[in-house]
Amino acid sequence: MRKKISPNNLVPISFILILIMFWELSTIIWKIPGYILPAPSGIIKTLFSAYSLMHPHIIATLKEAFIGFSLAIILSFITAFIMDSIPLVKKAIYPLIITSQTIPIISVAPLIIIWFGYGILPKILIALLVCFFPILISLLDGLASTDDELINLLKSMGANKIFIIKNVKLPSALPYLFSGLKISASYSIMGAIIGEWVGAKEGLGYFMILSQKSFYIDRVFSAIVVITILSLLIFKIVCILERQLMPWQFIKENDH
Amino acid sequence: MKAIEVTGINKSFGDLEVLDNISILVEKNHFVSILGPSGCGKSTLFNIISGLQLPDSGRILINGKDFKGKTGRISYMHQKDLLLPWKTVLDNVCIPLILKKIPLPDARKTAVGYFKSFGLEGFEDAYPSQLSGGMRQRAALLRTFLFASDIMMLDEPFGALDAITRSKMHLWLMNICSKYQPSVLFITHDIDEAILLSDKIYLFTKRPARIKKTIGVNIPRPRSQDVLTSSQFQALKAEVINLLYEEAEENGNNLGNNMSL
Repeated sequence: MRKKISPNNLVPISFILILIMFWELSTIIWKIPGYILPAPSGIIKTLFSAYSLMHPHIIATLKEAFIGFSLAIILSFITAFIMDSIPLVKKAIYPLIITSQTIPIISVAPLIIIWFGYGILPKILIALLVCFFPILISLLDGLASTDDELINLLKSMGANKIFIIKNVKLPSALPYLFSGLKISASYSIMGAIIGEWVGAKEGLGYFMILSQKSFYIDRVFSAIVVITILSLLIFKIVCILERQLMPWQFIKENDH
Repeated sequence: MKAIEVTGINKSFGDLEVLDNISILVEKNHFVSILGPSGCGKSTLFNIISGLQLPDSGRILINGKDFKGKTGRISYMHQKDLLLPWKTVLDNVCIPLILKKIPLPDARKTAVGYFKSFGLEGFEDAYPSQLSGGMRQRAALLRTFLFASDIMMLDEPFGALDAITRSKMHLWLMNICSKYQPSVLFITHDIDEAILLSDKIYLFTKRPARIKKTIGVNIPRPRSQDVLTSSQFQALKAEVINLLYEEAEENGNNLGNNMSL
């Protein structure tokens, strides 16, 4: 991978660095105690010293998020294809799906914990719920966006349904799918954390609650840093996949 | 020999009568045009001939065999190139061969052989978005050609191109036709284009489409752009324009919006 710091990246990176420096300095100047707002340097230090403590929690959260995200992809594909091929089903379900999006997940999370206990299952379910809708909606829009004339032309050449799904419907839905996947990818970690927050025996959400109750504010911040890094990593993986699967989207137009 | 023989086609969509007793004959190796105003039902006729839609009545014979409501014999090409953006040019034109169950390597080998004549050489691995409008239309035509090289239907294939590219495409298409001798049914609303390319022109009326007149074009081939200024061409063009004005007056309608003279 060619990774150079281009002028485009330079602006946001230096801005972030300036903010962090300001934060660091203000904790020194105004003598803010570590249990209120730890300095960035302290957070980094804790990140390394407490990492062995955090490690099993990171693995637990990643596992929940990954399983939830994967199940969401599978489930939304099945739902989207059923809804796309049977218009009546789409008409019946679509408004319901949109409406269900308005329910805050944090209000549903305790119910899911009550129903499914304190194990890994409710966290997976919450991550799945959070990830499912963006993927489904984008996939549905993508499948509906295909050109009917194109499908007619291929039909006139004798193409069957499977050929059209594989060669037309799916590829033309891919750009839409990936914008949904990018949203869901970063949501997946958040979904798992919400589940852990409400009730868990392990995971970064659980670790944060423990640290908070013991006034280890630096550990809370370290966990936030880890969550951010993990979410960005998953986001990046989706972006790399996008490039691999859709080379035609990343070529310069008319460069002959 | 008769490549396409269509007799007595009628088609309505609900109360809307689109085609009224249309009969068309395309002899083998001939280039036949349908000239008519936009929205007169020409594209519906193409869908019926290609088997995508059923007529209310009438017969469709292709090389003497009944093909009513059966797809997979003749393909058509649109004003839009309808290339798949996610496939390379080579794989796009291979689609009809793949649909005929020809293995991909063989299909590619066959298709590559035509890239030079179709002016696409060197662009085998390019994506459609990297091609110019004219090249995209040529790729679409190659795809149509690889589906059925003997009979092709072209629905305003150059309608979206600029005038200069379009006139280049005319000469190129005539070249291709003299080289491969296909039978072509061509839809257009451009009078010059119809006269320049065709052996025979069917003049369609506004909806419901009827055949107003059949005009034979006996300008000798090979034709070049000089034909456009010849007296024979001008006489034919005058005849077509008069017929169109007559038609417009009968309907009490202005034809200026629909026809490019």
